Amino acid sequence: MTAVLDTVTRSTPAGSAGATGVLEVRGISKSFPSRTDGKAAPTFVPALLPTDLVAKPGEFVTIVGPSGCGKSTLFSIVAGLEHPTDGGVFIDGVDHTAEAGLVGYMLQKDMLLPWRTVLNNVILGLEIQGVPREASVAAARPLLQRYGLGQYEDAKPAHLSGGMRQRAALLRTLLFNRQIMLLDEPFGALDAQTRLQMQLWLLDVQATFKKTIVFVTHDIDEAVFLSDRIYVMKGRPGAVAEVIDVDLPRPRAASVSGTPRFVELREHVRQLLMNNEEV
Amino acid sequence: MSALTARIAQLEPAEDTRTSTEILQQLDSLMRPAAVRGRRLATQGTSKARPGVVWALRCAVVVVIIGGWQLGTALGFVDKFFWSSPALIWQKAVEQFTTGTILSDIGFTLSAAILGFILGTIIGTALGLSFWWSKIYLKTAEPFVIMFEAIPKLALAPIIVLVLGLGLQSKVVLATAMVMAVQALNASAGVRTVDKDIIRMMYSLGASRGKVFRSVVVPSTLPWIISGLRVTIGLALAGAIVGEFIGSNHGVGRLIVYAGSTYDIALIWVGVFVLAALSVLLYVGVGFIERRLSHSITD
Repeated sequence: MTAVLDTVTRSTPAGSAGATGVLEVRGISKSFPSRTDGKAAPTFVPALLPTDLVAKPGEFVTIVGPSGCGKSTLFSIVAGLEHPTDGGVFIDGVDHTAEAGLVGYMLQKDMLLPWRTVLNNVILGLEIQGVPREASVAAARPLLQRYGLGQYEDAKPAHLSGGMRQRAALLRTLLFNRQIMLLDEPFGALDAQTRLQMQLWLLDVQATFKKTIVFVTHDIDEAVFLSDRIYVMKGRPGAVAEVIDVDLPRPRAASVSGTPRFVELREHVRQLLMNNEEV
Repeated sequence: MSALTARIAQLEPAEDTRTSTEILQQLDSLMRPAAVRGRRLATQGTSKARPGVVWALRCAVVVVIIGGWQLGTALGFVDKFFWSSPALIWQKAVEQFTTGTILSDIGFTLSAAILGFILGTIIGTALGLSFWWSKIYLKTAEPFVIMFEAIPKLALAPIIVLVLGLGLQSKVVLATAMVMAVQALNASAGVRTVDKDIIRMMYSLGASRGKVFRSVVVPSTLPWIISGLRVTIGLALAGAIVGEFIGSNHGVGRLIVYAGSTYDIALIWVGVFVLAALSVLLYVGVGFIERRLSHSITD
């Protein structure tokens, strides 16, 4: 399986071949100009106070926090789609601030192009990076097969269920083949059962491909279940309230959520979020 | 003074001391007594329009109109000089189709309309899509496009015919102008509704602006263009006809003007019915193309 992806990696220009996948966010902050009517100098409203975040190779790091805590802003900056007001994004020790195309990026909305087939959607990143179509298809087919989309490669996204669409979107991110993947509430719109299946699936994918994953969620259970480390954020302006190491053993089965340690961690995160809510 | 305080007391609502249950009970007493049974569905099947029945009714409408018209002229209720009669129109049509110029006129009008339709769709779409590339360009050009859309292009017909002559060219240009303005606005509206997050996703995959344009902006604008086609084909035909009204050697429009100036009422009607048939034909044809295109995009 990894061999298939390796062939793609080698033919990808500016690819992640040899990359280890260390993500360091150093003192990133963001403020937005407040709306002013006249020509008076605009005042700046901080949306995100200087924030540090580290994700080591193969680590699963989660950010939880209330709406408006700057999670999505932070993600846009890390993905290189927005300039930070201050600070830098370092990938494998190199400053890559405001450079797009270096990390995989997935949102709650699946963003599948409705006029493309599932196959053509999942190889979109490879197409953009100039990988020959045959090589892309050869890499995508086995993954589609393995993750239950084999029969649907010629279907349009509209014919897929919500879970399948998210899986296709995640496969697109995976096939883009960056060592670091940012997942912004990818399962937020799914029903509880599909969500659990997708979480287990994501853990499987993570174990197979050893990606560095940074994950945003509102769901405390999801955060504890998936993560190696949790950054709990507070809102307005956004800042990290506490960093929690999740020392639950891997591989994790769904039943881990019944263990005392899980419950303890979950309560701790919940307390943090509740306290910050009151402030 | 005391009158004023009384007014104020009236205006300020007294504190409502009723409990929630009391409020609901009072509401209950205000409502009509509970229905014994709910509103029933209409009997099944009555709302189904069976195609056979519909077609029979349509034919009946045509028969009544033509029959009434013929009967009216025969009995003298309808003035034959101004309104002609179905029998005379039929006679004229047969004459025109066997010995007259009407077939070449139809060809002329159709070519002008279809050429204008194609050119207008292409130019309008390209113009609308080009707005995606620059905000400054969009803001600068937009009022002009809206103005051009708003002015009746038919008012330009005399100038266009004077400049481009009595031939096919002037008609094609008029038809193009009619179609172009509408499709430019359609395309720019489509461009504006492109999903911002999809564009972000494309950039996150390292896409260039050109790639985003080709792979996202163009395909998501196409449905807007396609849904405009059935409207613009009618406009193209109208443009061609008006061009012929102003001055032309050929075309169904010219035929009608000629018939009018010679008081050949039956021939006017022949022209009108031919135009009606043409517009239905074009509409159905474009509807077919539209379905094929939107199928190939969305399915």
